[in-house]
Amino acid sequence: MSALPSPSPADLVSAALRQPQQLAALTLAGWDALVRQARRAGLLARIGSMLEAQGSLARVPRSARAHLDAAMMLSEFHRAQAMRTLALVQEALAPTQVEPVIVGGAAYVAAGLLPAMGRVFTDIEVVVPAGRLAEVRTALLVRGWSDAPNTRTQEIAQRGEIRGWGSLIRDRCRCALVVHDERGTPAGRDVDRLDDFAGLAVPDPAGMVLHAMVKLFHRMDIGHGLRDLSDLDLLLRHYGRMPDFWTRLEQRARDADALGSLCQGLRFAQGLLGTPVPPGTLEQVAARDARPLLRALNDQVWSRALRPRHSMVSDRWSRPALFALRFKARGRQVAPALVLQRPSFAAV
Amino acid sequence: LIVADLASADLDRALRATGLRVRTGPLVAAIRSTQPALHEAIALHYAQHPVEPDNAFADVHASIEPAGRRPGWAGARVVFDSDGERPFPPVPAREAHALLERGLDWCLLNHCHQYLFVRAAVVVRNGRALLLPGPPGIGKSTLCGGLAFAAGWQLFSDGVALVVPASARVVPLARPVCLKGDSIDAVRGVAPSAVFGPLLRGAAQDRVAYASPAAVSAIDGVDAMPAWVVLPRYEAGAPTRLQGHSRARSFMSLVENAFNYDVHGRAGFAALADVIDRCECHELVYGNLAEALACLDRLTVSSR
Repeated sequence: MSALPSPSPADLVSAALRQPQQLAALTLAGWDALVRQARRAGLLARIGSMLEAQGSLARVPRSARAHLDAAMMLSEFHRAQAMRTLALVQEALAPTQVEPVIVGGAAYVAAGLLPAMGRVFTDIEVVVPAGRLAEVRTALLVRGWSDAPNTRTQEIAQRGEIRGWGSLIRDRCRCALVVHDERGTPAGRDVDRLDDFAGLAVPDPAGMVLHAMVKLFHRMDIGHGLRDLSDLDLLLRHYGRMPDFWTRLEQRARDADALGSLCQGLRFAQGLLGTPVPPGTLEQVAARDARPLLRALNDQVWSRALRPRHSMVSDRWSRPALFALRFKARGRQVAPALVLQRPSFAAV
Repeated sequence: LIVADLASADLDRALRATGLRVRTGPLVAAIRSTQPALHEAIALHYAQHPVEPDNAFADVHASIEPAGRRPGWAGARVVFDSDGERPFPPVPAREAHALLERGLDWCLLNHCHQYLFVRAAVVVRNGRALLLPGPPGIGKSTLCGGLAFAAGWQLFSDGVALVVPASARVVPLARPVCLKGDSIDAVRGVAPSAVFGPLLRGAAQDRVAYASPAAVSAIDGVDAMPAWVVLPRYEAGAPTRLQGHSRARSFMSLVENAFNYDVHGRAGFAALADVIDRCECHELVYGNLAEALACLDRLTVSSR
């Protein structure tokens, strides 16, 4: 298999995520550049949390440390807001007996997974059975939620990328709620029920990883591509130790016809962030895709899309690359909801 | 090294090349621009501010550059950019300084949550801070300008108070005072020696001018303990009235005017409660700036 283009030496963020221990050698000017890039990539708080977990946050120069602390504080606030919103959703939907599946960033928070670390997000995505949408909507409206006016999510919904309606908001609640239908009622659902939130569930490990991958590679808004790749990296590091995980992941991707995304996700996670992938896995998932030229071009494009969106890291091809990806995603009707449904439910 | 020490050509070069790193209060701002109007504004308003070396860590990276390659039909426009983020629409080039100040505030409020931000003017005398919280247009900048330029108070900040949550002390920001409409004349009336930049917007309803903090600012960055919270309210023609205000209401006023109170959670509540515990709380209605200054002077002298 062809090798990925090597990471840009100017990209300090992926280098920091790959080898956080190297940050000890960073000069003050280096920290200045890293903080700027990481903030733009939405990964400042994660780098802070990683250093805190390693016990090396105290060695960061004071001026840079203040920014890491501030970002971590904001991320903790977002986490608390997400937990509160989930409790409100749980309470609102309890009478309907619907078991909503939480996906995306909120799922990491709800399940206490590693990618919740240093994460910032403004909406919570929930998937409910297609036939129950109206009922769920009524239950939420009765409990104080209302349609969010002119939000970005609503725009996306109007373009038809997301099935369902626009996001809902609630007074004194910072997170918007995006409800997707799951397109087609599944006979059974591969989900993990949450201990802390009875009645709510998250996708099972393979579903969670595939959802993250497809979401990363198939949506129009790739502003936080590196952050999403870092989510994926942390998920794989967490689940990768579970017995059978890799076989199940491959099988699920095969069933959902998402081998391309899986292969691409694994290659970039491994190449950019050093994600441990068992030997042979990549070859197995890559077997079907044998168009070397197209792949080389694709790699060049994505290697630019997965850099922090900062002038220090961009080159002359960055803008065309992002434009091409946006153009490619434009006509596609693949929505996170649809995608979740594929890995989680199609295999059942 | 302070900005006034730089020759005009050096200042120009620094602003055009890597960016001039200026310390304003606890923060270092790296400012980059090719706009001559902005260079003049920086030379005037930031004259006494320390200049940091090029390789120093900058908390804020700001640039003011032309919005397009060619000037549009309405003349050249400039845009604020911080690491690729452009939170505001372009403005005419002559308003570059107003845009910079707005942009620096945006960076501060979005990136520096180590501080609790309260929408308040802060002035200090003998190490004790007077906080004037309130929504925009309530008359706090006018009072702040009067206190700093005419009554000998040290200027900490005009629009945003920086409260350190752990100590409940306020930190000086040392930035120009933004005055609008009639308050420009009011401050000029009580402080003829105050140095103003050019009027930035033409329409009489919407005049904006920045008063230079160079002579009155707390450039040294030493923090201060809040001692008074005064809720100001300007009412044209009203007699000056200063009266005690409930601590609970004053606390709520701080909360309502805080930008990131919820981000700080319990620590934010404790910090603002601490501020109120240490302060005398008053409400001030004024229609005449000179009277209001005399009133505040009596208050702060008598409670010493």
